[in-house]
Amino acid sequence: MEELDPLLHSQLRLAIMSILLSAREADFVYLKEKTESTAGNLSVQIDKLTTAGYIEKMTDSSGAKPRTICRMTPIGRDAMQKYVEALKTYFSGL
Amino acid sequence: MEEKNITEKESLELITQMIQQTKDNLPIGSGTTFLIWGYTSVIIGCLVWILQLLNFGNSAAWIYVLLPFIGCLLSILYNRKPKEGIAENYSTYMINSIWKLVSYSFIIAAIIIVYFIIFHKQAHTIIFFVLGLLLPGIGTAVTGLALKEKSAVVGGFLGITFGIAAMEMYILNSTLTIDWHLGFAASYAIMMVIPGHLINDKAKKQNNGRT
Repeated sequence: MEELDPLLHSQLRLAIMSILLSAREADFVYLKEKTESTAGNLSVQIDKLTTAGYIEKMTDSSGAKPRTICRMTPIGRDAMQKYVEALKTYFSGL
Repeated sequence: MEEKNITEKESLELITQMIQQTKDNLPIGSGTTFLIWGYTSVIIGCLVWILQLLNFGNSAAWIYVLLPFIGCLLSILYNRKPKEGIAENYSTYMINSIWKLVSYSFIIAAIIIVYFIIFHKQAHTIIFFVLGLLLPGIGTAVTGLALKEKSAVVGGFLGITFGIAAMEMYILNSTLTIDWHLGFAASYAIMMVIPGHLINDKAKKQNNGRT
């Protein structure tokens, strides 16, 4: 069995990454609603994923209030692919 | 949800659940832009046809100049997005990119025609008529393919066909008959009005099913 990426093997971070896997980009409020998390916790986890280079953060200032938009990077996509591949090995015997 | 380690089974369930929640559901009102441009084009095409029947001559065709302005204005008014809580999926991104390309092509065509009018004192403004069927036809067909909406694929293809036929007719006869304006209106009814309503119905059903 392969070792799972510890950065992804956490509920909230994995939820963020899974959303960004199917959506090209999502804003902070969308991620907060879908993950049912607190703004503070979400912000911390987004920062951790950004620091790892798994996602990128952008600010959209076109509206009255600036929006934080998150998008998965190629590194993040690669990490997710490896994570899912590793996850498969845990179920291969079933 | 919080930062906590989960089991492998929970991981798999979480990934599936999040992907399911973000899947490509059509937002309500997805067909509204089609309806705006479709109805505006149908009304203007019919208006030009009626005015030409009433002997207003070719100058009536200048009413088409209003089409992009009315279309853009209504699109801005009706497509006010929610300020927050937005995710863009890949289909939406592709559709938006196609329509941007269609819009830029029109702007380029307008610049070229204005250039010829100013510096060569003549231009075949009929190109707008042809492009007005050809380019939205391509955009509609691609949108239909992305949304898996057959009426838009068929409508778009018919728009392309009418555009090519109009071009051929113009090359052969150096003019288009009055009835082509009615054909223009009919093309937009098939190409945008019908798919617009069907896409809106589809979006309503998808969103009702989700709640």
